[in-house]
Amino acid sequence: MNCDDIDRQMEAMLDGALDQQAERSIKTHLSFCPTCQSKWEQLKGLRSLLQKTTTSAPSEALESRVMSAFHRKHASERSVGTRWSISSLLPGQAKPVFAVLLIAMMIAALTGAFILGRVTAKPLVMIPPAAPSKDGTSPQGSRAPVGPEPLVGGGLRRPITATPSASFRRIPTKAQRQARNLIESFSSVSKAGATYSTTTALPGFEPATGASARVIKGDEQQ
Amino acid sequence: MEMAARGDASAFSELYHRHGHRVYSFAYRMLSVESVAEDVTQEAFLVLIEHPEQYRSERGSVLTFLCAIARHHIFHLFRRRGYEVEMGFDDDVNQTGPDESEQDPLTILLGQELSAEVAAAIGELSPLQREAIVLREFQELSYEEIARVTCADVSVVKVRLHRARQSLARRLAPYLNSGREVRHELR
Repeated sequence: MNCDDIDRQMEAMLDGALDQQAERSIKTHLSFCPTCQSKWEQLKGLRSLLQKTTTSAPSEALESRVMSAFHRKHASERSVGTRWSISSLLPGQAKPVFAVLLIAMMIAALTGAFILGRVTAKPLVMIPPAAPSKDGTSPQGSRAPVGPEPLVGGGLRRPITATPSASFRRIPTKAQRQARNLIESFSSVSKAGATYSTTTALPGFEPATGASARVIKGDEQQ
Repeated sequence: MEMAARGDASAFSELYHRHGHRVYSFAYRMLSVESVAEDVTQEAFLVLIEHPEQYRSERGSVLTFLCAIARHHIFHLFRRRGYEVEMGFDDDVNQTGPDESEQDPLTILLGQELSAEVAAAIGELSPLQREAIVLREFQELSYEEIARVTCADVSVVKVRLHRARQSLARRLAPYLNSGREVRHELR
């Protein structure tokens, strides 16, 4: 080993980054090379000088601030309960991708449900309320369905029927089920023969202006 | 670390007592202002509190993780303040010497002067050389740990250390040579 090699490795030896064999080689060289020995002493002296200086400890206020932040963080977590989410199960890189996919799926599902409701829905028929018979018996009369009404400016407005039984059984779409549930809820509180009007707009269905329907109880059906 | 991440206050307190002073010491030797060094230290521990999942034991120790975060804030301050922070020492000398309780006033004064000179010499180094020498000499991190904290290769760390030591040796030559003379005079 020459002095240049020793010079390059001396600092590594000072920092404890050399293996034992390399250290022995360097120490052997130092024992008979005063120039390298002087450099070695200077390195050790510099380290000794640097280590004579110390810094004071940080203030107690710093510790208080750090511990307060710790308690705040974990107190809020305990008050909410065990907080977890799907995102916490995912690695960091997958979270934005997962979020985008989730939003896209939700949009697609809503759009599909809307389109499916419009395409598969069969027109419901409006049954105008029949006038009660003179003797007080159940009103008889035509239940001829009213067809779709033409709208001003074109298009058709689908009428709504308040007859839950036959047509609802035939049509299994979600919109129809919603209409049935809505009407049944009304029928449970209304009297037979009572009329009511609804302004609830189900997707794909618009009640005709001033439309009204008569609740028909099961025993009144013909 | 795992217990602290789960909310164990005593575990976190232990973590702070073990590493807080060292992180603060690193920040202070880089910035030379107490209050700013405390802010940087607080920021480093806040990351540990808010995002413990960012620490991975296979990447290094908790100290290297904290020093890396502190370094990020320190260099952000450097860039914001125009590359270098003004060397503003606090009035009460923060750079202390060895235990002064049993020394005579002259020794204490010389110790304080020496500390100030060492701090000034370190302050004159470039930020990259300064962080290398501070992490090696004062935080006693290995070459690999310094490389991880500074996001540099080990070979680059060695070069920075070598140049920093050369600069310090030139700057502090009077103290390196006169150290033995001062001890003789005091006897």
